[in-house]
Amino acid sequence: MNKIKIFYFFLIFALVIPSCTNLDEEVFDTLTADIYYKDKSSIEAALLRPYEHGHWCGWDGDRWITQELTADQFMWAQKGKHGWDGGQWIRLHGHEWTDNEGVIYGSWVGPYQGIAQCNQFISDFTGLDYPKFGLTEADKAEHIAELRTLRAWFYLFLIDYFRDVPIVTNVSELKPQSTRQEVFTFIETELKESLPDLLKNAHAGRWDQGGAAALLVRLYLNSEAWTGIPKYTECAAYAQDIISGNYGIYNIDPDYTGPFRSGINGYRSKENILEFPHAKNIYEFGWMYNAMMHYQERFSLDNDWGGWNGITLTPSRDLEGNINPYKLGNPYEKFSDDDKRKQPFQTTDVNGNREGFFLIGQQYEFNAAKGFGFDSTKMVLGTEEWSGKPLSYVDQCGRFSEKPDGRWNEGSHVSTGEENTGVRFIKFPWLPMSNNQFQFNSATEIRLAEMYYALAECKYRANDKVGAAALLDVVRERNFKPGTWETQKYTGNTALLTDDEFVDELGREFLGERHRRTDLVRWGRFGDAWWDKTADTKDKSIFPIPSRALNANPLLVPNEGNEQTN
Amino acid sequence: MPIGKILKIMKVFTFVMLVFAIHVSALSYSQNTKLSINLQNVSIKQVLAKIEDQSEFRFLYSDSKINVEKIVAVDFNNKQIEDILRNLFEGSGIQFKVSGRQILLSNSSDGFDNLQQQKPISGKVTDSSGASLPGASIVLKGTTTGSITDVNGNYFISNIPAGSTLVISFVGMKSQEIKVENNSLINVVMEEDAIGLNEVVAIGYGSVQKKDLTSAVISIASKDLLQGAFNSPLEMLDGKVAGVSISNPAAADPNHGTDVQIRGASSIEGGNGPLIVIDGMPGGDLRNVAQQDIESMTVLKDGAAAAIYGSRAANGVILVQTKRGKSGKVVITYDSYIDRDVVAAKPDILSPEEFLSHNIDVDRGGRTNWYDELIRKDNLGQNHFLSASGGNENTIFRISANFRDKSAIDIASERQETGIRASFQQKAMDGFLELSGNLSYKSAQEEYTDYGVFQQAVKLNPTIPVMDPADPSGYYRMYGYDTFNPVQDLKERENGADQTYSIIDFNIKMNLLKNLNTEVKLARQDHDEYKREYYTSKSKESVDNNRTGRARLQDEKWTDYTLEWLGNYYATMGRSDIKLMGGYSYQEFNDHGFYAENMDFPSDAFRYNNLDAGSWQLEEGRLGMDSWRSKEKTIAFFGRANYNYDDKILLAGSMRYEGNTKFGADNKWGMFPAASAAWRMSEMSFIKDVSFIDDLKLRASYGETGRSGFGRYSSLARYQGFGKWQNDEGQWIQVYGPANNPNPDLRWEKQISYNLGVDFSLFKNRLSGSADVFIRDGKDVISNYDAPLPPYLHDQIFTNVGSTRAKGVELNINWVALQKKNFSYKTNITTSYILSKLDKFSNGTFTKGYMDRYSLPSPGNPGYAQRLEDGTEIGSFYGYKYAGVDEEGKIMIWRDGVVGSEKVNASSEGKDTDKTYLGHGSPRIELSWGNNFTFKSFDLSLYFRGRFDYQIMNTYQMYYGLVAEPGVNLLKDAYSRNGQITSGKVICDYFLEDGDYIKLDNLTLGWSPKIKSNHFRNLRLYGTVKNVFTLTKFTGLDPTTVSISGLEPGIVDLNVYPITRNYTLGVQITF
Repeated sequence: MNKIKIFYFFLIFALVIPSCTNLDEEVFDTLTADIYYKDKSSIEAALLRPYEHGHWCGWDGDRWITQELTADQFMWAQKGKHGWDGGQWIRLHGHEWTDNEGVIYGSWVGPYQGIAQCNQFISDFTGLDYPKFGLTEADKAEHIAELRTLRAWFYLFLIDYFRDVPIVTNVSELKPQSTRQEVFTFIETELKESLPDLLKNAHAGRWDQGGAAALLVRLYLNSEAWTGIPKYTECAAYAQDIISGNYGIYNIDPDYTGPFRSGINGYRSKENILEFPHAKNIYEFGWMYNAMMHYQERFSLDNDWGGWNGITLTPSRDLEGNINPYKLGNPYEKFSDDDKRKQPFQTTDVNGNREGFFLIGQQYEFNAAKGFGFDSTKMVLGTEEWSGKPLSYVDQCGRFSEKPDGRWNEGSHVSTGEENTGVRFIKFPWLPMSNNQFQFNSATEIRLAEMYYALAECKYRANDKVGAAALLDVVRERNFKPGTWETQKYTGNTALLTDDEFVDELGREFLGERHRRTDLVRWGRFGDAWWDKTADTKDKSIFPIPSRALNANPLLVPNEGNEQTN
Repeated sequence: MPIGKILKIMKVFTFVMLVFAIHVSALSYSQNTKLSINLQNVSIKQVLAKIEDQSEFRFLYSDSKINVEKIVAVDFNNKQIEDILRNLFEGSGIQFKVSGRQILLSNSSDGFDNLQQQKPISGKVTDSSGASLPGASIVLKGTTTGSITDVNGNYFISNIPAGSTLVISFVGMKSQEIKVENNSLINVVMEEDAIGLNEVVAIGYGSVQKKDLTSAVISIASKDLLQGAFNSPLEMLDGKVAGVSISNPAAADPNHGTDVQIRGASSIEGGNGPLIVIDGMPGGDLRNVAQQDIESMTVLKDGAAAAIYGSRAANGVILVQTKRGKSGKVVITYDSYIDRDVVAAKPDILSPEEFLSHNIDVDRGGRTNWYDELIRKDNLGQNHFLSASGGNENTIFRISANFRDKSAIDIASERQETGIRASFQQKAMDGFLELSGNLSYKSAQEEYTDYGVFQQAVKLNPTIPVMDPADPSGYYRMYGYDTFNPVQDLKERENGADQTYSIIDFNIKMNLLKNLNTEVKLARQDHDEYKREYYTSKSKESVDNNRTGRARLQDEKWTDYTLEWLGNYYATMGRSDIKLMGGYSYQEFNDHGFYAENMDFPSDAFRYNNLDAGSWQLEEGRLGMDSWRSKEKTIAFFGRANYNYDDKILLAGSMRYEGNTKFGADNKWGMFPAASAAWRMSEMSFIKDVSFIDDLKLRASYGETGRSGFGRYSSLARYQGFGKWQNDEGQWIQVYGPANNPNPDLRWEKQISYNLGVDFSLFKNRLSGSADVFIRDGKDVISNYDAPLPPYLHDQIFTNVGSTRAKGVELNINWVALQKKNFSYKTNITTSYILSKLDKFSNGTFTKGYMDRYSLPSPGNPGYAQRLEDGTEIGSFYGYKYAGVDEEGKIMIWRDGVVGSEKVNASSEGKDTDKTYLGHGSPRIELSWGNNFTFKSFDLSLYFRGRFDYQIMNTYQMYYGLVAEPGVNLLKDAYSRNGQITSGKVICDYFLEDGDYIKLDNLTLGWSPKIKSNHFRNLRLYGTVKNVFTLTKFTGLDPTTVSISGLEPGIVDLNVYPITRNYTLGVQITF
């Protein structure tokens, strides 16, 4: 019996022992970093990751909101029970933000995440043996140059918003802030060093020589505002080189809608130096549609999206219909009636052509029979304050639906909107889904027009109004209806071209392209009064370092923006 | 001598005398008889003769073997016979045995056998009411020889050696030991065991008698669990164990899980729920167990008890034992109930007329009570359970099946489950082998609701009709991301899951020696979840997005394997008992699943059953599917030693060396030691004579446990796919990048626990209980910390960064107040005071020192309601101090949070520096008070429960109780209680309310008629009302709808499920 017992005992032993003590992790649906790089396409997939992040960072919310909703042209009005969102849009409009605003934290985190990704991949790629993956050393240099340029683009956001920020080039190195001058020099050096290794006229959505040079233009143009040291000469030199084609071939698109329909039906506008491409279902320009379009707009634009009915132009008119008495703002009425861009938006054929940058007035259903345009017999109806009644956008902000009672008497404020408040911005066209054109248009990050305007600004600041006028007119001519150009052009009419006009013209040309706050700061007008905003009593041109970032990194110190918060 | 002490002694003396007087008649002859003998220089033989003279005692011995000629001197005054003999034979080697009036003498204890013949014995075992107890166990002490009573409670055992002692035991009754003496017929009356000192309590990889516990372990038998209809067996434990918080903010939702928290929250991300061990398998899923299948639940509260489960035991351990069969005639049980819910409290909102009179919004023509539209008036539950068990000496089995069906209080939730469970135990090879196993299978069909509808029901314009007046077959459409028609939401969709659970385990035990055995457990646990969703073409999302239906299927499977190998060794040396246990454990947890989704179906009739009929995914760039898989392993070596010296000193020590795949490469293995000791003071001479003390034991323990309830692969540097971007060729490819901030140092959280306790049993066990004081220190607490960005990749890192401390006192008291033939009253109180704090939230790398918790939702996003900072209590509210309103009705607050300082406008002038700590959302005191009455065949129990010393952030008053909230319906309070406020919501103490409450939580009336029938043995009919009434100052629905466990306790969720009163009617029959 005892032998049998011992036999059983060892039987169990034999059963148990093989399960042993191995605690290595088995992964199935994820890749560990040490085995990630296997071939050319894994390098490619890594290289493109910070671009994909960059689109999100630049065009998916926080960055756009902080750049435009703090300026004079856009608002996210409260519309009854919708759009109050804790008062954050009201605070942004009135320059009363705190260091706790989610969108400001997002504007800090977004670029730095992109920077960390670039740092990681620069370090990864540096250590990779490219020939082993079927690539050349030149490819490696080009990839690293792209990542450095992309990283510089992220740093431009940071210097623009926060000025003195940490310069990190390593994923795990905790660092204190550098001065704005150091940040400036870092960006300048990075771009200049990367430039020779980049391609000319690279594929859409990728940094190339033109793009890197354009970032230098942006850097130098704003140098005085950011660091106190003017660099207009350097700015002008790079802008001229780009225009001259030294960094690749670019042309002003003869069609004012051209740069913004790049990507539709295979069209690529030669004007775009950098554009973020889109494709429906794959990479969509989703936030922009949702934030701006009314719930019912899909019936007039022909798609199946919802929309949040959020962001519109600020109103040009008061409750009585008079134009608001401010130098800034009034974006819709800043356009001349002769300007083609001011026309109400409509598609003009099935090929994706359209006219107008705005939705205003009565909305009509899409003309499904023709495949473009509207069916003026079918009005789109409202669903909230104007429930069941015609939906007609007005260039005013007030509680018209309650007139003469209720909240009508509260007047015209960001807080007193309703569902049809505000002219809708549709420069980035939402084309018919049934024509397979919806969500294929690119986001235009840098256009050649910006180089013309930058060069013109350098000349204007150097008192060369004639030179400035000529450059601006190269771009502007396409905007005007036949026969009206003579009255609109600056050339030969330089008296028109004042500081105010220059600021207005920047507003018209780059409306909604995430330029406005930077331009107003550079022109010293960011603290001025406009509709529903009094003149700032404190300097608001620098955002506070978000409290969460200060808390997470003990080496960070508050900036002027923190001291100026409410 | 101080007066107090004299009084005490007098009291004790009086009591002792009283008890003596009452019970003297019941004592046996040997104990009653007192002798006085004073002899010098006599032989033992002469002494024995003198004793025989003075008494009826007769000595039996052999002159040739026993030396009775030794000369001794004796001086006994009024002593019992045993005392006299012990003294007399001291050092002589002579053993004696008193059997009634016969006294046997021998040179060795087994020598008695020669003196008396083996004989048979029989008898009947009954309970105190005289009812026979079938299935009671009768064992000869120190042997495995024994029998089980038959259906009439009779037993028979042949060949009983003389001098034997019978041990009679029956579940729920006090075990008894009876000397056989000369009797051949012994009838036993078993007493119900209120205290259960001899009850065997599971302690993890073994069991001990309750009286031998050295750590804080509380076991609740099935008969003491709460009665009624429950969604989780854990709810039956609610309030039964001091220090154990059971909560369920949506108790009436049959698909909602129950939170359990033992001795306070102390983890941030590692989870605060205990480890569940079902029939010895760690990590068991209680959804697999029917409430009627549970024999007992044992809570290992302190670190010393739990440490044997190592890295998963830091939140305590709950051991669940399922019922076993018993030898004897087959017993069949039928247990069934039906139950119904009614709404106990509704939000007090404006009527349509009031809504319109306050000009909140326009009249949409309808008059709708949205809340009532969501209530199912004819809700009903039913639960049927049938079991059969039986067996013989070598084989026992039990099999049970149950069916449960519940249509809930809301119009969407339903649950139907069917389960079967079988267990067997087989002895073989003359007791060398014991094979046993369990097999359980359960399937559940769950239909889910959406708690968001109840928030809509409060805030929606009550003049909106449910259906569109223009098209009564369609729902009234609403727009905006946070507004929807709640009836449409629930009716125009199907959202549910089919769950199947199974556990199979198989155990082989080998009794290698009488005192050495080894056991292997193999177990497999499966859970399959098949989620199915269909949103019809009339649902809001379909209408809004111009689609015709959306279907989604998801199947996920969890498979766990367990292999455990144990060895047990027992030894007795003199008065010392030693138990040793050692073992090895391997557990593997696998998870894999996939989903597929499609939209735009030609017909709603397909629902989710024909995914390829949809056209949505045909478009380029769409995919609508995903799959995933992960795995985790735990490996451990462990051992435990128990030492018992004469029941006076008890020591235990254990160690677990455990590793887990999830831990960082540098920290795979950890050591979890524990030690505990107990001192049975009642065995000490100075207390032994205090006869009102039956048992008194002091305990002290120390234990280290771990916590590893965080996501897999958290420590690895991983690259994962993100969105798509165009490559050089213009093709859209998926991009890859770092998925996380990797942390190779990631390790388990460590919990160090100290416990000091006392167990007592007084006044003939009528009053008993235990008290404990504890400290739990959490070290290396894991959190998603705000990482400095730059330079990190993400703004959060998963790391060991904090420490926590919980301190508390617990008290359990049971009192058998009245025990008469026809009437009894028992009561018990369970209470605890627990304070949990965040000790430190920083380490060498990360130094933020605080975290903001619970971001209050939009609209308004008013910020974080709570802040945890070094030294603050878990659940500390952080915000402004309310200072009334200004003349415009705007909320004013006190500058710097100091009452009496400057008042400033909260919205325009409030600063971060004005925020301060306002209160705490974690109840410090929990109390439950159980009362059980029996009168003849009726029983009545009243169970009160309360939580005290905490606050609740009433977000309903904040979001729907202020007139500033635009365009939505409001609580009536907006115009009365809060009428002075015209500004919007800010986080301030105005919205903080006392959460204290006490409620009659469970009222059960039962009737168990005595029925003389051959067809069935027992019948019980009962009715239960749950949530009978609540006393509280809280103005929300009910304090129990507010979560009080975890790290963010005491905040009202705006999406709150209805609170109900539940009525149950049940029957239990034993055949």
